[in-house]
Amino acid sequence: MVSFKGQLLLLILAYIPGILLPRIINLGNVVVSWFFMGTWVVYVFILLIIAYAIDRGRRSRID
Amino acid sequence: MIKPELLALLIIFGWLILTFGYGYIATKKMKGRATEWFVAGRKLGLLVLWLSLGANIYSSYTFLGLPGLAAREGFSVWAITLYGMISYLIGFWLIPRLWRDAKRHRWLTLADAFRDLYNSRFVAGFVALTGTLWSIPYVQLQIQGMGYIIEVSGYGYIDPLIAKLIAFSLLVVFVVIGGLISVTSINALQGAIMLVAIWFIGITSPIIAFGGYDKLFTTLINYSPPAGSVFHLTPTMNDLYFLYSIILVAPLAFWLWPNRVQNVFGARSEDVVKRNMVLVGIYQLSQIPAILVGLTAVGLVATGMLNVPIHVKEYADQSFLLVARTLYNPLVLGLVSAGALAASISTAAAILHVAGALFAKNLFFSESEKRLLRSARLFTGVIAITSLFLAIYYPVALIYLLLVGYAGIVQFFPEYIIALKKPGLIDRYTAIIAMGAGMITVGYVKAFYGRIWNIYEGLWGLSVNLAVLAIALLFKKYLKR
Repeated sequence: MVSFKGQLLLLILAYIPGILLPRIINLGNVVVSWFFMGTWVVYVFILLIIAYAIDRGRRSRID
Repeated sequence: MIKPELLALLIIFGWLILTFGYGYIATKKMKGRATEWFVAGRKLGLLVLWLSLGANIYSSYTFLGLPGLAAREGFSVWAITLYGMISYLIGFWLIPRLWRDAKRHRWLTLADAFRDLYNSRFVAGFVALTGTLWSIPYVQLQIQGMGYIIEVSGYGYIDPLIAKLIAFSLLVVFVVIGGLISVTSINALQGAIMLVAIWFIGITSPIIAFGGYDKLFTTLINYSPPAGSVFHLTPTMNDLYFLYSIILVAPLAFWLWPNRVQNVFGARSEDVVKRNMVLVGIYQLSQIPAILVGLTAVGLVATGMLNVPIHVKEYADQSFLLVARTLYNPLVLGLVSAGALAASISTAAAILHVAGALFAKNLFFSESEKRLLRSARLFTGVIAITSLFLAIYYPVALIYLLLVGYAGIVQFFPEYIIALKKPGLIDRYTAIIAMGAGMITVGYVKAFYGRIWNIYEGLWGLSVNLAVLAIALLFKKYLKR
């Protein structure tokens, strides 16, 4: 099981790209902003996979 | 030779009959016990759960609402896709815990959880009633979606109202005579067809229409939207307020929809639940091609290949189907529409099923199984008819129907988490008053302001909810002195 602190850290990491968003907006570039958002979505999905991998690793060590 | 408009409709209704037949066969195998009716006897394996949950979650809002929002507003659509993905991270921690508690305490509904956490049937009744009411916009969304599907796929051959009534009557009958096993069987089929349809149309339509994704964006950048349109590709600070407020609040509510919770309760094991979080995230990624379809619709309008006011909400919400009708032959349109219709029916079926269960089990406290099942079926019908009435007489943009539902459902979150982590900290009356205050705030903001400072109404509600809790706790502390 992912620990509570580990889960919280992953959640914070998921939101961090939001800090960059005002800068992205100021660039005024359509392609950059849409690419950034698409990447952010995929990035969160990767964090989800990492959460699962960590959880499986912990459970196999316990077993 | 079959006329193109008839071909698409034949495929759609043929799929419905196939689905109905499959679900009916599954229903006949049902043992008739409450646990079978409510949570499939907790037997669902990974593949069926994955497909079923995907079809449950992703419905008219994915096929129609999301491309619709992309077509109407452009950049804002990313808030929707992002909050969903963040929801899975939260779900990875929250849902296994909920599953374990549900199995240990034999919870059948979300309201059962609140009953035990607050040791109060009153709280359970409140959650059951409000959970049911906030689900009505979600069902209304599906019905509106079904209407658009028939309208576009039939090339106007069948009156959308009549088609809606026929499809929805089949749905209600099926939900009434069936149970979670049957709904799950249907959902598994719909989930499979949905994935194929979204990725196929999403990936190929920009290439067919414009010769590539870069050319799609070039077309859109050079497009001047008509007066009254709010479509924009370049994000603004207004988009930021909306996005930040949505991604902070909506993920908290994602897993508290009664139908999703109940779907998870049906899982065979905790490991299945966890693996499912990751696998269902694939459905969330599927929203990216859905967004591309919405943009393609705008591009088709910009180049004159589609002649509709795409910035108007009814047409925007039809954009997925309009793209399919414009660029593909009726066979493809029929299959895509069948998938979209099936997705809507499956989600509506799941919501109605659970809404009926909540109402009957947690609001009227029926202990006799026979009476329980009869009550559930009766109230399912009442909720369905209410939603149908609203869909016909008070249609709203599909995405905003879902978001207002989320705004209501999220008011359960603080009271659920606090009771889980610190049992006894909040009493039942404080919980109900805080949740109620949050819900009233959501309704008030939505009804009288639409949106304040482009901040999601759910955040306003949650702020009031937490403020009431904070005041109550401070008062309790003061009294103890």
